Amino acid sequence: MNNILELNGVNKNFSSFSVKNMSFALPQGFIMEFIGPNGAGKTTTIKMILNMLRKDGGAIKIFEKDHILCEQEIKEKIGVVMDWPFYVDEWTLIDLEKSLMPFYARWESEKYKALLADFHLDRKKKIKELSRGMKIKTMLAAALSHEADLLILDEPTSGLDAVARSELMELLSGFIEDENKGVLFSTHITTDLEKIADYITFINEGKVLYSGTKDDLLERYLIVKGGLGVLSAGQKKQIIGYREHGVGFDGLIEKALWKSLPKTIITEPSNLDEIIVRFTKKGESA
Amino acid sequence: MSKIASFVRLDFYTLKPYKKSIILLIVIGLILGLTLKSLSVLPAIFMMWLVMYMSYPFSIGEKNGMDTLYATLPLRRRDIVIGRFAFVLLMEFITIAFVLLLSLLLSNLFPLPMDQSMGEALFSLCVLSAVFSLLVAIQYPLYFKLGYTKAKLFTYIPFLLILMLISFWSAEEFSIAVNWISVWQFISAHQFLMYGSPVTIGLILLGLSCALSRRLYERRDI
Repeated sequence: MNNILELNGVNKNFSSFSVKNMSFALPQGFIMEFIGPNGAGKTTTIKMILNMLRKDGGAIKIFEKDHILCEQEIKEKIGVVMDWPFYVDEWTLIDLEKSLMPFYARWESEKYKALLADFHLDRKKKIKELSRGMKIKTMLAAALSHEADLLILDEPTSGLDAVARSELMELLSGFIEDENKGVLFSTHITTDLEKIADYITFINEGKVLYSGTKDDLLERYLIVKGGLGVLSAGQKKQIIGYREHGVGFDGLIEKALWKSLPKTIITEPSNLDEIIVRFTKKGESA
Repeated sequence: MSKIASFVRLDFYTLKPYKKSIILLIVIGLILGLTLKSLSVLPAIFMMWLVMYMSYPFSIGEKNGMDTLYATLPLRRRDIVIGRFAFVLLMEFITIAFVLLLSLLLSNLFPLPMDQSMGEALFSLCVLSAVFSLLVAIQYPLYFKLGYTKAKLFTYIPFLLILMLISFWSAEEFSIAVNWISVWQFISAHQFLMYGSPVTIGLILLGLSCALSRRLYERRDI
């Protein structure tokens, strides 16, 4: 199986923030949720992938080719959706097509029109007249009209209502039915892709805390809850994001370790939100 | 269509929302030209409009986050810079051609006491085109390096430089030292010097500026 996107030891240093040794790989035919709290380095990483920011070290390969040496060829096959629109706000959706079409060898006018119709977008409307959800859909229509093989989405769901988010997920599910395609979806809302993401890359403070399949991550951890005073100091240390409240404690534990805990402890399956919150507080690798 | 040609087209589309104000400026230029009854006024007015509009792709681009759009398109950074300079050259060419046509039309259609010949209008266009190229050559690398808002302040520098040069040349001691009439006679006797050299100097300036802009934009974090 080929990797559609691969980062190896990528670094970027700013005066107050760094991306350190960022490595992960997205195989063809899958959706990767690129997740982390606000300010974790998701947009910085995406900007490096797109060569908007120059990396200080490491390698980025897209379709197994260097992202700078083969930039033109690679970008013919990438569709990008950001959390803000990057088109002239006075453009109509007809102007938008006329502006973008000449850049792509595989632009399909009919597909663009069909997508706009599916999204209930009026081609004569100006970008500035569209709601936030409509702007995201416009970017998606543009991204999908040139037969992109890799979709990169940076926080597209922030500010979207539940219906618009659900429609977006449906669209991505349809897109990934073709096993040659891939999606990198950055978000800080873990529930966005819970049902459709295959891989998770979880970052915080510019470092990868976990990168692998979603199922592996969810199966690896359990939520534990119990009364106060039942755990020894050593056992408390095993619990990730240990938190005490009025009547007891809760936290996250590796599945392999929970049997060593007292039998009065209650366990529940973990979820992405819990894993991210606990690890973000602890700042360790998952 | 080549990527650079596509980028030029994109720049035209970027300015498209301003077509009404561009048409209005053309009408104002025409009215001024007719009112003042001088062929030499037309090139000055239209080249001034052109200078005004040449920062628009940067200002509109920054307002709408279009550097991100450029980064998503199948373009290298150098294509963007070369495309922008090609757009400027094309706009300059269109303006010159338009002004010449207009001057020709006006001098034939209206019995205006035009004070200058077409040759002089052409000469003033060539000189103004060199001045325009100088302004662009200084401003564009700043826009590419810093972005529109940050660079805006620095872009007044060329205007100040030109004003300083004009005041220097018109200073009394310098006027005595240079016999402008003989300089003009010499230039007007040599066709290339008269028309070709301002255009050539302008093109060289734009070429150098394009190379510098390319270096600066390729190193810029967006």
